[in-house]
Amino acid sequence: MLIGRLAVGEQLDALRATLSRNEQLLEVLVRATTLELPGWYLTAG
Amino acid sequence: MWNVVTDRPPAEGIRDYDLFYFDDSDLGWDAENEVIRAGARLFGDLPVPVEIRNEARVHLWYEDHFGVPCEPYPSTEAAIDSFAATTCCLGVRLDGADRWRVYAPHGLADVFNLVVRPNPVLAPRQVYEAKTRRWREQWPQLTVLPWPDSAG
Repeated sequence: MLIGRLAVGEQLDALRATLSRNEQLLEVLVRATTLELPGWYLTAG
Repeated sequence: MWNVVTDRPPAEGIRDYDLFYFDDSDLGWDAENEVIRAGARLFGDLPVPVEIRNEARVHLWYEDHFGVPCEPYPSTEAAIDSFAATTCCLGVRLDGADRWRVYAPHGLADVFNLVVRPNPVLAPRQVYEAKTRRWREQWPQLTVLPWPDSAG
């Protein structure tokens, strides 16, 4: 089944699994926590 | 995302990462620049830059940059809501060591299905079209939906 047709919770699991394949992105996420910025997100804009 | 979905190396062609935050306690450039400098020290050894922006300050420069006014955002989530494509209205952060917080006001189906859908709420048509032109070169499998004529 297409991931886009999975239940929302399963899509979230797939999102996390997909993004976790990018080690650069994971590193940015982990390091960003140390900045303690209010309301921060890594975005796709 | 689209690299993995289209079986490319996960970081291929990524020119930067966007790290947005919201701090309306000080709207001066110096305060944002201090955060940018801290980010440069923190991320400086990574192969691609991390662009940091305080979304509380966007209304101060948006019109000069894009030609249309932007009301002050009340939060980073509100800023994400105004991205040029609904497909890209997506933010992720870690709350704690292993707890992911995902903001996806339009869901994730289009992301996985490689559908780019316009979001004509703020960004002008040319921003959407420039972005989607570049994305289509990088990921030819994308289905890019047209900007609605009624949105100008």
